[in-house]
Amino acid sequence: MSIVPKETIEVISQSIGITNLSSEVAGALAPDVEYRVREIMQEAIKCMRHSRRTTLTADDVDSALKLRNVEPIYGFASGDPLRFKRAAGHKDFFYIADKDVEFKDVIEAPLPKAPLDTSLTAHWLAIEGVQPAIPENALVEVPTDGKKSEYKEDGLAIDIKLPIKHVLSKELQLYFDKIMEVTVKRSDSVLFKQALVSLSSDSGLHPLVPYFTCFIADEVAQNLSNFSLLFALMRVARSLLQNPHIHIEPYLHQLMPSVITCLVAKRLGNRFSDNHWELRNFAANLLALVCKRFGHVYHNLQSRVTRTLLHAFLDPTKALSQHYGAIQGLAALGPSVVRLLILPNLEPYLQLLEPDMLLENQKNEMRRHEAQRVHGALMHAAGLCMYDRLKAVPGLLSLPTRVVWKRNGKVVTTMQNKRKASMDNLMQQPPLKKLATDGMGVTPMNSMPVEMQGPTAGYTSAVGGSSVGGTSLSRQLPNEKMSGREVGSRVSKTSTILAQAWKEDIDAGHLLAALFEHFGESMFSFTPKSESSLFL
Amino acid sequence: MNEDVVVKFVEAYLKKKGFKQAELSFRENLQNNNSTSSSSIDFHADPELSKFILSYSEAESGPARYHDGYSKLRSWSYSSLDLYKHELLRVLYPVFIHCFMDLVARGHIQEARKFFNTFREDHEMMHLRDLQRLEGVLSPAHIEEMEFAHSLRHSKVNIKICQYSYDLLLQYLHKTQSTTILGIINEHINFQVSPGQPNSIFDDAEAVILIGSSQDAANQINQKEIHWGLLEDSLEDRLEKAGSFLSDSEKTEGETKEGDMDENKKRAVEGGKQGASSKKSKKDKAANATAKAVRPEASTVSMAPRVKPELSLPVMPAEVEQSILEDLRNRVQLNSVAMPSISLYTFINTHNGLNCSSISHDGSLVAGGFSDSSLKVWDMAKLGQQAGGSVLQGENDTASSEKKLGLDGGRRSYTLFQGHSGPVYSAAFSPTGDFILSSSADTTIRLWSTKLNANLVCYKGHNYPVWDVQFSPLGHYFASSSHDRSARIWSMERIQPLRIMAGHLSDVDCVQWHANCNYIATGSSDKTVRLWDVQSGECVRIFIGHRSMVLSLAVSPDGRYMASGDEDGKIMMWDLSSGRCVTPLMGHTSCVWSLAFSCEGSLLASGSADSTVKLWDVNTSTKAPRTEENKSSGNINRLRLLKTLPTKSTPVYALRFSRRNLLFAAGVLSK
Repeated sequence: MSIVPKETIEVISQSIGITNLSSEVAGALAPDVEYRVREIMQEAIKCMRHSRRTTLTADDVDSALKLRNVEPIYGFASGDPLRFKRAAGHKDFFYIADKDVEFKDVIEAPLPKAPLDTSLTAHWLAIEGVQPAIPENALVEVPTDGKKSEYKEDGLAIDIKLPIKHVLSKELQLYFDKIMEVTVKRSDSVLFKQALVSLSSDSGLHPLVPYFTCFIADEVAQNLSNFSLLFALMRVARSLLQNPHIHIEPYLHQLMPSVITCLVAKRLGNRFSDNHWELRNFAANLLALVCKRFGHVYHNLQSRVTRTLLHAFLDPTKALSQHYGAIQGLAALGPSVVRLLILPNLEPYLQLLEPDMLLENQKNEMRRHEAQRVHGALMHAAGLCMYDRLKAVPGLLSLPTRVVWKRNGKVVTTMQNKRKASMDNLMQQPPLKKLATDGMGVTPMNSMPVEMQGPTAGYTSAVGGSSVGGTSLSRQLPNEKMSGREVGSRVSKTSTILAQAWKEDIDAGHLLAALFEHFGESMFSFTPKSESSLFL
Repeated sequence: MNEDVVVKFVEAYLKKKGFKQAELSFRENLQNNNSTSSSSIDFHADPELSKFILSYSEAESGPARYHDGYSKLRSWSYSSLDLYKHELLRVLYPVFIHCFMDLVARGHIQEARKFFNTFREDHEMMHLRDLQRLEGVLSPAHIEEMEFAHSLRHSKVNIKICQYSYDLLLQYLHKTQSTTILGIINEHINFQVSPGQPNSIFDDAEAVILIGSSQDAANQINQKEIHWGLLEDSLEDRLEKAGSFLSDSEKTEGETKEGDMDENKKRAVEGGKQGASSKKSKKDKAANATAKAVRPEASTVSMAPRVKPELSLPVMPAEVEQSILEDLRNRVQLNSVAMPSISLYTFINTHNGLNCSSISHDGSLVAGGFSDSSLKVWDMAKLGQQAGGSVLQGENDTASSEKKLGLDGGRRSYTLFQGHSGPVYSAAFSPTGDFILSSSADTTIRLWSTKLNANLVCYKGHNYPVWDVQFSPLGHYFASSSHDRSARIWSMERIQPLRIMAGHLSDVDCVQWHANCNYIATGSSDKTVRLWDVQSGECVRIFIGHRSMVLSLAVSPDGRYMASGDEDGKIMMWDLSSGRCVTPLMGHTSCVWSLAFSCEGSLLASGSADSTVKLWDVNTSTKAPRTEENKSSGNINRLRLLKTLPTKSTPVYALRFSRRNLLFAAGVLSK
């Protein structure tokens, strides 16, 4: 009935030498013991409140006992949690384990560090009701709010130290040194993880950004063979990019080369066990993050990045690992990039790759492995691209042929054409050339190698301008009979603009088919569920 | 009722109680009666008696009937009409605790426990603290011993209820013949039946608060007249005067000062005579407030009525007064749009030892009381200079004269005051910053000089730890509160207390002076706040409404309102003249350690254990009732939360608005 069971009273009485306590007495004492304990705990809670705490300590209980004129219980003053041990042979009988300590050990032990003395610091919690974003203050949850106060702080800083060279506070210097040390030496520790969290969330780091970017750039340049360091640096870079309080745009030009190096460098790490593929993936994602976040601010950012990557991809003299990095980077930039830049080059590239992948031809295990990696990356990129297309055009496969959609495809296509024309090194390869030049005609229809391809289209003649009553493509076999010729004749009648739009859709169809040819069954995993069922 | 049944009851009763003789004589009597065949008692005509007999017959089933009766009443009231439901639900709690205590008192401990645990959830939200205390009551002896339970048993609960709900309840009780419950309701609940519609749910803050003393007594006390106005001839007044003659302010200042000196002397002589007698003769000064409010003034403070001091007040040195006037001139006006700047003082490396902290009126000195019996004082001006920051410079120039660090200042950043022999629970600066008071678990209060860095006086009087100590707004006098359930008024020059305020039913946890020095407010673990007349030592107001221990108090600068914060994080605004709660301020999730009004009374700042400082707009509510004083029904205007300022991980122990309306906060960094 009471929380204190009778048995406890019996045990206590035994411990103080009363062996013949009758059970009625124990039964009567038990509730009283509970009452007294509760009383004392209530007093202890009062003492706790007056010590401005919210956790009860042994000291509070002691002072509560003193209030009642009871001798305090000595020996529990240390802040360590008490370790209870179960008494052997008893189910629910515990005691506090007191370790025997050699007196000699205690005397000979080195003196512990003196605890730091209490001190007092001051900072602004609010200036006219607005919290400044300084490290001493808690993070402001609302991002817009944080931005505002950050600007405010910037303004303030300018006001105060106008002509002075950039001055870093001692705390920030210490912080920077610490982060550097952890990154270089102990990147697998828990501390490093916490450092990353701090980098990605602390609000007062802005003054350190140039130092960090410089640090990353230097270290990457000097330590291409140190895999773990490279990875750690990339993590630091990512954390910085994630920090909402940092204004990192002005330093991107310093940061990007390092990231791209980690993506497409010939060798990353010097050991066989270093998983540089992973690092490349990470860097690719980082790149995508940057492009997504700052693409609109830095208008030529994405184009510069893609150009660099494309060069790496299309240069057959480069190592396969570099190709891999370039593919991953392009894939991370989004399906449209893949469609425009990778897919047109897919076929010749695969032809190039094929000999390396086959066991008979390529005796070098390492080389073969790399080739397979690259193949996998290509497949992934192409697959995702296709998935995206299918998603964007959900009716592509399922809708009846005569359904008309409104699509605005012109711009993309023309751009695609321009881009192709501008890339001179594409021209070396005959199939590409064909693709690049056949924009106007019906030729792609005939050149399509897959017989499944049966495009049919419904035009609405009423539409005009750029809003094209687009074509719907279907590869359902029954519709195959509506042959390409009929479409072709129509196309010849309509304007060239329409033809271009049409062509783009054909591209989509082409894409699918080509991918099937190249990758076979494994492509199915990238098609959306409903569509793939229709497909089959 | 059949007569035979009655006879059987009586027989059974006598047998059970072992009254053999009585039983025999009863039978003889009965036979005699039968022979005369005339019933001497008319059972049918006396429902009370039949009820008694009924209840006796029910008593056979023992403790179970409490359980049954209560659970029936509970399900009935939960299923009643929504309109009347909340009123009926209010009845449940007193019935619940009295059922429980009845069971305990009769020795059915086991059943009592079961009963308690079955239904406790219903009341946990509203009465958690009480339930926790009652839970431990396990024997009849405990009920007698425990004051809380004892007072519950011997007092009635007031419940406001509308006529219809009351009828419903009685009807139900009669219909189901649950006499046990009826008995409890009759014995322990005092219904205040009001005609008309049931009152709204929000209106019942004090409807079911169980306190030791009877509600009537509290109401009676709250009828007393108080003068909440400000002191005549305060510095603010002088500032205004000076402002009107701004051109030759120096001269006027000097004159007023001299005039003051004389006046103060006069006052000191009259001090004894003024008091209770003169108070009676005065009309309620609140009436004057409206008259004075006609004057077009910016400051809300100046609108308050003026009262004469009841204590002989200290004379302020001229240069101090000068600096205060300077501060008042430079004060920033705060309101809901113009919010204050807050400087947060963070204690680090305290090793869980800091119990309290206090900030001087100009923010330049910060004191911390530690559980190792020490009191440490930091001079922020000095600290600021070391760090090269000029943060506090603006505030400092006012008090630069009194800042000289001690001999040990070279090594330590603070001045250490040692003298107490127990944890220091509170510290307070005098208005000028010359003195610090500290109170401790060793039952003493010590006065320290910040100029001499020495202990001047040790005040002994309390018998238990002294929880709180506060200087009066003009210095010299101070008030203390203690675990011994009393609050005491002291003056610096005497080692004996001048007044002892007794009346709280539990520890007095915090104390605060009224702006005009004639009253002190105390907050207690008995969940009430009381206002005491300093001159007479009488309790003049009881504020009932908190649901847990009251931890902090603040009185508005115009003396009309008071805010109190409790353990649950609730802050309540009280109107001193009516004794009613203006509105509760909800928002904090943990103990409210500290409260402070801005100097013109438009903002309230609260610091809490949940590591936030919150700013509340109190102008919206306090201004409106003043203009339409008679119409105000209390809580039309809800005060609103203006801003929540989270600290990184620093529970805020102390808050202080400087005279220039800069807000200082102090707390300890805790991980």
